[in-house]
Amino acid sequence: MKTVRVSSIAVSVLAMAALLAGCGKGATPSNNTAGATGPTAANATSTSTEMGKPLVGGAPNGNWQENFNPFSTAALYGTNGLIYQPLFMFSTVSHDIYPALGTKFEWINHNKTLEVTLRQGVKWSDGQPFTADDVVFTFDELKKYPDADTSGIMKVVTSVVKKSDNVVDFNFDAPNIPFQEYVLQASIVPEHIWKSLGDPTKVNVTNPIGTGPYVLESFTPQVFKLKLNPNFYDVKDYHVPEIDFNAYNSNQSAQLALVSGQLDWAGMFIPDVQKVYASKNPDFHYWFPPGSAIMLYPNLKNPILSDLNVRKAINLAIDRNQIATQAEYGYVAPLNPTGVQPRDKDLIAPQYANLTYHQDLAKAAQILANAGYKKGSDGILVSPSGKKLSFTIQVVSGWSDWVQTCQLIADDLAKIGIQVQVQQLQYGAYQSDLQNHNFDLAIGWTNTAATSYKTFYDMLDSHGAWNPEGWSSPTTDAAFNLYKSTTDLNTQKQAMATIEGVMINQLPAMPLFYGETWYEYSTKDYTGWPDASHPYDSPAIFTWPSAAYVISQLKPVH
Amino acid sequence: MRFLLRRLGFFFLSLWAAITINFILPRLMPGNPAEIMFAKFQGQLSPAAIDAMKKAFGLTDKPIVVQYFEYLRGLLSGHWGLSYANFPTPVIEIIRHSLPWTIGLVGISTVLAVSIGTFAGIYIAWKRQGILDNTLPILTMAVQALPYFWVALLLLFIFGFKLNWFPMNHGYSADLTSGLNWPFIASALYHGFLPGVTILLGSLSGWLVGMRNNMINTLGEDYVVFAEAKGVSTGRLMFTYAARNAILPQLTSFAIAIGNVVSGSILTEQVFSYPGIGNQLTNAVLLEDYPLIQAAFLIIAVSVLVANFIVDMLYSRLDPRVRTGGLAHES
Repeated sequence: MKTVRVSSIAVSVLAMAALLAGCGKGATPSNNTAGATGPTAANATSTSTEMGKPLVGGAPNGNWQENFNPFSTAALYGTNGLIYQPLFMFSTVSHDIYPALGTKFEWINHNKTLEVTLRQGVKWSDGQPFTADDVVFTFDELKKYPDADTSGIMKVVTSVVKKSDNVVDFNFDAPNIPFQEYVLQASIVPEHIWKSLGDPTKVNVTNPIGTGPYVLESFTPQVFKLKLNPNFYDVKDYHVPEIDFNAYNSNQSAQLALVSGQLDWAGMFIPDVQKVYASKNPDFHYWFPPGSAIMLYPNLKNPILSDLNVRKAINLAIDRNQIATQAEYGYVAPLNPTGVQPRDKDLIAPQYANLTYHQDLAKAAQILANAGYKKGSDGILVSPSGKKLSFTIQVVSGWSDWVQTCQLIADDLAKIGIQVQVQQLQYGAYQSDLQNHNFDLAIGWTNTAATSYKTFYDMLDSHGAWNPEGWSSPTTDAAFNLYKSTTDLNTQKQAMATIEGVMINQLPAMPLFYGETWYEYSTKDYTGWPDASHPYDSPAIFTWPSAAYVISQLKPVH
Repeated sequence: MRFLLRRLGFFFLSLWAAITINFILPRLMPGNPAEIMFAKFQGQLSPAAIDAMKKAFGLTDKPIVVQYFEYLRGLLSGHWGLSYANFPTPVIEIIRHSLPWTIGLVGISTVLAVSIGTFAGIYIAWKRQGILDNTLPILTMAVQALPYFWVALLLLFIFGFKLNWFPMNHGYSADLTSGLNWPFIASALYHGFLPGVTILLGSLSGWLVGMRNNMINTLGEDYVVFAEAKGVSTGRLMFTYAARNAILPQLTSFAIAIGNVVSGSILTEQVFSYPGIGNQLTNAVLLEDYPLIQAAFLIIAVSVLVANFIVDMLYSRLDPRVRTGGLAHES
């Protein structure tokens, strides 16, 4: 019962942190030829031969608020992927790209145009046909109402053109291959409904009409239910007749529901999950695939922390093994010092591939001594310019594993004469401090995306969206430009090698562990779940549209 | 009449203060809602999204005074805005869905706790040194002294998880649609039982012990002894002579308790995943959802003030000293 950790908010936030987009090589001008089955589902009512029981998922995020608006940042589970569909879906744990409303995409015109071929014979759930005009309309909406364009798509894409009845061209100013993830994964809405709705961000959608495999059956703040859409083009491949999403207000109550077998699918932190959950029933399983790295960010605007010697010493003094076992319950995967997540290990340059971390207090102390740092009478180091090496480390209060990690770091650094105080902040304050570079040290996430490019771009490019440390260098900017303009894997690897070199040698941020994706599932009613040996997509119930692909893979148990 | 006017004046003054503080407090919190939403989506949103969300949320750089008057106008005209965290759901919608559950659960449990506590208090004071008097106060105090969420989790674990006697979460069965029909009400009562009992156990001792002690004081008064000597019947002596006077402080506490019903019982709602407003409010504070925070606090403030006003009025009926300002009874 002692499972108090993070508020439900923190869980959901962490959850999103843990994953969201993910992978997809971004490189290959993929000729993805998955099944455009053409007009199917002639007989609407006779669906698949074998159907299972309703699938029950749950999340500890508090009551649901009815909102199936794919443009909203607060859209309910299933809105993106089950009800509305994108052109393609990007797996976040493998490099797979799954077709949805698109059947094929390729980069043409010197990588400045992304050409997408649409599936034919698709109908909206109200019976109207889906056309290329709907796709053009959706992106026009984003252009017309920038508030709705939270991925900033129309700032990168210059125009969206209907080339023929089933081909749409996305024109770019300059090549930006990794950006295909955002364009292709945007949910498409029906023009005949949305054209009269005005600003799409202000619409509270309670009767969603999409092209996806599911439609809304019923909604209450406690549970909402989706049922299989009999007119869906691939309806024969679906064996889950109904999906129920239960709302819980706390981790404890969601966990009890999970352990008592009321839930088939959940995505939440459970301490000692083997004992608490998996050992209770042979059908109960979990898999926590690693996501992008959690970092120790030094503020490079701080005169002492901008000294590479200090960062090197800090990096050497931290015992990552202890953090992994004590703070993270051993759930984390072994860490590569480049911070590149295991999914993209092919992108790690050979010279960095086998590096590992070892705590070396003596060497850390030596580096500082050589750089002229001397111990004061209180045992705390003093810089050559006379400043004490005394820092705060910021963390969100209540994110207990991170708080504990910070405590362990503080203990480690005390051993080499650096004084660190853990400062727990309310989420808003933490967020604001990191965005505004108002901190000494902080533990923080890296952005998750379908490509490592995006993760590192956000963190290290001078225009990066999540660059709390304040790293800015022409070399890294050039490497990012090189990466995004090519579909050639080797050139991309070359660009990544430069970036990895910066991570290893300059330590703009210090990887601590890979963030976990929380995922618990039961094989009592369904099999086909992703697991360590079948990592076909992100398994998390909070990662959409990936979760929609998972549902397409489930088969009932007899 | 003058008393009434004075109380009304006080009522409106406190209301204004509450509304104003309600406006200022969320804005003193560090960070802003757009940044928090942005961070929540870690990489999924472009930096441009912060500005997009600020615009969508209507976060402006207008002078704070202008914002204040717009806020007042919005309150009076019933436009409470759209929730930021659940954009674009109107705040009023969220409250409409959650508040009735809280009022039902916490309200009924509070009324039950007060009635049971008060009557038990009267009884054990009358039979003081009896077996109930020696056990009940200690027992209830012991329960109340236990950490509340622990008791709730314990009950949930034993009666919900292990024995399966009661549902472990939610306000009603997922198969039913809400409405005034018997299966729904039965389901709501069944789901509300465990959370209700925890609230009852958590607050019973205050009412019980408070009433008992007041009673014992009153029973020692000369007029009670005199009445007893004159042969007044036991029931009349117990209720009309002693309890009526002893109950006054209970009434004040009751007003405060009723006012607090609206703010919900955050822990209960979390442990039992009850669809009430307490949990909404916690989430709203964490996500800096100003419109929801403001609306919820406004409702809480108004209900506390209204409850106090009503009790003030009642008090003046029950205890004329308050009205005349004679021997001022502290209230």
